[in-house]
Amino acid sequence: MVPRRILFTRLIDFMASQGYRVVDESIGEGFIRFRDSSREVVLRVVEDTSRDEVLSTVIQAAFDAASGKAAYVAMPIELVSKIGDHAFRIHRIGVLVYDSHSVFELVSGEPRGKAKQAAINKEDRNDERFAVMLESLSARLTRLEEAMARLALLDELRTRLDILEGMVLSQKTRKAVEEERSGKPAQVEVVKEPVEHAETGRELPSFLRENPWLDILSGKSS
Amino acid sequence: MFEEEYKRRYVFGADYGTSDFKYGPITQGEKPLVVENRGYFPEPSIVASILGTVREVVVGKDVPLFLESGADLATRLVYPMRSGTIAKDDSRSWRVIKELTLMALKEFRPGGFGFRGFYLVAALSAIAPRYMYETLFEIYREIAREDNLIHSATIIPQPLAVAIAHKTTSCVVVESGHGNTQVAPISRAPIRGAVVALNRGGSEANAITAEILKDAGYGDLAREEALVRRVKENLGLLPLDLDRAISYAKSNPEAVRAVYQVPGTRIKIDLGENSWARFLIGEYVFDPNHELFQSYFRRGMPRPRDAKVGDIVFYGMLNLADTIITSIERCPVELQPHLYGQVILSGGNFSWRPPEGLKGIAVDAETKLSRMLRQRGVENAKVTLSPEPQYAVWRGCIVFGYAVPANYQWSWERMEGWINLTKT
Repeated sequence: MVPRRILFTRLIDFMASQGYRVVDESIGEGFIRFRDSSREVVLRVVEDTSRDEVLSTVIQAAFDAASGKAAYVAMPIELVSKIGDHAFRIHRIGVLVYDSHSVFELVSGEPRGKAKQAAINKEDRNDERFAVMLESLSARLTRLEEAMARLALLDELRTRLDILEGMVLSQKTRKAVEEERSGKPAQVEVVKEPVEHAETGRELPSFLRENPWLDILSGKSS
Repeated sequence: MFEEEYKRRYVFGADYGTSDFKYGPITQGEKPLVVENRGYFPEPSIVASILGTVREVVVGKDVPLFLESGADLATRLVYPMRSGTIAKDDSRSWRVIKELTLMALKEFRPGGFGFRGFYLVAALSAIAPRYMYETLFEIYREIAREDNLIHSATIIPQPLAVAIAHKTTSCVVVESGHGNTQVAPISRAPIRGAVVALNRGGSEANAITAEILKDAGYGDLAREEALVRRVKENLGLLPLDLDRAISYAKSNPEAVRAVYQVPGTRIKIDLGENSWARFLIGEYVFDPNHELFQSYFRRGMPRPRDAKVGDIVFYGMLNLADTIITSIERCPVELQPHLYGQVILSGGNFSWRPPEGLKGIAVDAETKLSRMLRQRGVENAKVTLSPEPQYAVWRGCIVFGYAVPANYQWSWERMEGWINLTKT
């Protein structure tokens, strides 16, 4: 037989796993009261398998149920196999069965339909939570994608700036050479060399740089 | 404006060469990826169908894994562009082209947000007839519909791409492939009416190399095309003047003699007293009219014939200098000096390296062609060999796609512009 203290601890753990917290317990009188957010549960424990004790416990549980509480009875497995669970189901008294190792619920003490509803509510709450999380993740992803697109645009602009700087440089040099040839004093403005982005690998391939075809081809129109 | 930026980010070049397919997006940098331009049609097998790995055609790096031994290898292995063009009803070759294109685009499909397909610039031979453009666009349309990998596409002639890659706006591009050679003048655009083609390319140089091997007692090896090509590349010489080179070779046989050891094998090829024939290999590419070649024709080597594909005549026996002159003389007189001033040779058929000991006898392609042009009265010719001929066309494709505005629509009259394939 499982010592009473240990048995009570196991029963409390089991009910806690179902979402109930202990509000009162009496090892001597053999009951534990629990609550969740909406209602009270009274669990009465049967240890002695004598007819009197079983009857007394079941009657008390029936009173608990009649007074609007959820009523449970915890019984050893060998007793349940003798008396069956039919009467408990009819009277909506929950049955927890225990042996020397574990506790499990044989009959639910929830009002009919309520257990199912509770499970559905729980699922709904989870769905809601996941939906919120997904929405937040999706918003973050969108912001990231927008940031990436802006970075790519920045890259493109830097590349084009490099090309323009290169074009200005070569134009100025050409002009200076022409003026020198024609005898005019050359006024060469020093233009900063286009910045190379070798370290970032963002420079244009060599066959694109200073390619006269770029002007010819970019001027095409339908 | 945003479309222009999008296009520049997703330009993709595809060069359908006679031997290799070169491909890649602008982000590939200086060099494209290269796979052999071929496809293999494996024999349907029960094991493959059980494993669910049935493939109608295999392309790219997987081909060697599927090759089977057997006499039908030649019929199952298809090189679609070997002759520079594909017949309209050659469904297997077109199937290979579709599969190669799909493989290339899938390899570079970007993940994430905003991708609406590549701006694909393909390059075809300058002598490709109009139906090749139509069929290729149809293939691209299918790929765009099935895989969303192509936004817009355009096709440009390979010589134009070479000129663009060399940053030269007025020039003549001589592009020599496996089956033919195209001479295309360019002046800010291809001058289509002046394109002249030769029905002669690397395969003809292989043919004469095989004959020389037979004469030297290597008839058994002459049947293996890959080996013949290696012998051509390693033993072939380009003479400045064929008669002088042969007379030098006959009086200095040891100076011209060379032994080629096939790497990884015990095979050594020594042309011995026939070493003078090394000069015939290079000469044949440039001019097949020397009387010495007649004896080969009489013994069964096929003589390059004139052929007509679409509207283009492919000349068999015209020498290279006359071909260039014919092409340039179809252009306005005012333009001709500029075209002679920039002749670009592109393609592996022009990679002749003269050995140290034969300077002045054996030469490179630029020297040979300059001399041939001079002999015909063209004094100011400047002949340049493309430094990286295998990549030039792809590079030109990238520049073209980068620069041509996205709203420049395809016109069949101009044969240029973009075809938007996202519209149904």
